[in-house]
Amino acid sequence: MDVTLFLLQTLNGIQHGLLLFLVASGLTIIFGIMGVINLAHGSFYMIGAYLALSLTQWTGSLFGAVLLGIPIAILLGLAIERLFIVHLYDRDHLQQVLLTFGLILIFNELQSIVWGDDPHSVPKPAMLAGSVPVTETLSYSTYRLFLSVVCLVVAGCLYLVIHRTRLGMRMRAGAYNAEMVRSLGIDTRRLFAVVFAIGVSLTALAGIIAAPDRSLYPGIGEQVLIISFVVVVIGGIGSVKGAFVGAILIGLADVYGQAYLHDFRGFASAAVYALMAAVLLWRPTGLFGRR
Amino acid sequence: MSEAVLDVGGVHAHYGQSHILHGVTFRLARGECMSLMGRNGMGKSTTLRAIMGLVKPTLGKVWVLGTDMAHLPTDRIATLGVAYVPENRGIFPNLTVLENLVMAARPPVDGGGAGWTLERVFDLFPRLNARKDSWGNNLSGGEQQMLTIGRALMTNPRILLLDEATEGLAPLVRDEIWRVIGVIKDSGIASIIVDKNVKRLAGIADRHVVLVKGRVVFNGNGEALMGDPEFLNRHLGV
Repeated sequence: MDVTLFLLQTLNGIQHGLLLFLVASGLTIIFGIMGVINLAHGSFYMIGAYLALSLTQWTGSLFGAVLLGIPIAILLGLAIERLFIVHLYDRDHLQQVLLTFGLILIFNELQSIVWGDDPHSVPKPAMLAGSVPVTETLSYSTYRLFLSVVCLVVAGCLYLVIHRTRLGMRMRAGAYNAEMVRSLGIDTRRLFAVVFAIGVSLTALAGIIAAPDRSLYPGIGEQVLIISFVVVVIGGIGSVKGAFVGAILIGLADVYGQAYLHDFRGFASAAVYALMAAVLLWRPTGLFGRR
Repeated sequence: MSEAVLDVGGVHAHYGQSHILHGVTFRLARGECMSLMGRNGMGKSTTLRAIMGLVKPTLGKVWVLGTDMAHLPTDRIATLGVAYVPENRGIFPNLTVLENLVMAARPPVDGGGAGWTLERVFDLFPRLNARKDSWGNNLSGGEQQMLTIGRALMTNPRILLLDEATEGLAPLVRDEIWRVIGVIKDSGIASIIVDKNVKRLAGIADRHVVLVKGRVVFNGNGEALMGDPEFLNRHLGV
């Protein structure tokens, strides 16, 4: 086994995992704090990616797409929360799954109408289009390094918000006992709307910045959704720390699986599920789940 | 009669099919300390929950300083100046003592007077200062009760609802809690205290309300209450 190649695969796995973290952290805080299973979460990734396509064309730069795309995602998140999700707080999981599954169908149809079903690609910013030489023959994409840095910065900010601000304290308190939070005079409807908008914008950001590295086609949202659920389950439902560790593990398992298990047909993509099964056998509530 | 900060008028409440409160009526004057007594299951906790909007009254009204609250959401009721210490304390185990205190801190509603601050709460409960970085789930029962009272004070309420003030606490901690209830009373916050200890309540509360099966059967001062041994025995088991 080539050590340098292995290290590059490891970097790829970490980068893949960090991007997954942005999606999974939103999914896990929405479930952990609001108790809502949001199947439409992957759709916000898809919308982010297609927004990157249109906004990059319109502004001429991916950075323009990020600057415009995030406010759009926040507004979209607030609107979806107020129109649909708000009705799900006191309902059982079946109804949540039915409604948010309906949202997936609507978003996918809209995607098909607005952007069509042909695959698209988004150009990388010129300054990040190159690659960093590692050895004489191997190099690593500058854009992927940039992706990892952005994800780490966002993860750091998320950590600070959750652990160092009153908003974060209220989010954690709300995850445990929303009735007591209300009794202390905090409007949980507003708190939940903010949490939902944070979750949506994290996911949309992942979609926007991932777009130049991957191609866009119908169904990318669902792919990301399923793998993000695996991350959330491994990390422990509601735990952002768990989502981080879970995302890195899944990112690595996925990349190693594709790289080293491709001789065993079918098993390459099963590596992540094998990892999930192993973690759940060892810890049924996930790595950082509440027992 | 002095101005009422809280006016509970003919409140009925249900849990599913069971009719718990049957027209509970009483008033709480500014700065008054009132006890709410009765055997288990007579509706004391439900009365507090109805004031807090956690149980919606099926009939009747609850006014705080003239605002009808019966149909307001709980967080609005709290921001009008009502603080609630529930029977199960409601400590957030995944927040530190300090975070539990500051997460809901608010200045006084009317802006006037010396408000409760972190320093004042720590003066009142030095134990909390010593444990300020501990997680909520690492506290003893007594520390939890101190924290939940301290957290309620940090919202600078005009009315404090204290359910089962000393239940399940060690004797020394109970003394501490009774001392604090005295301090709160002296600070001018009106309060409703629920506890099993009739003697302690008689010593501290200005007025007593006794509930039997969701109805007020007694509303008067300590002398009248303690002067009727037959009543005490029948309704409070003393």
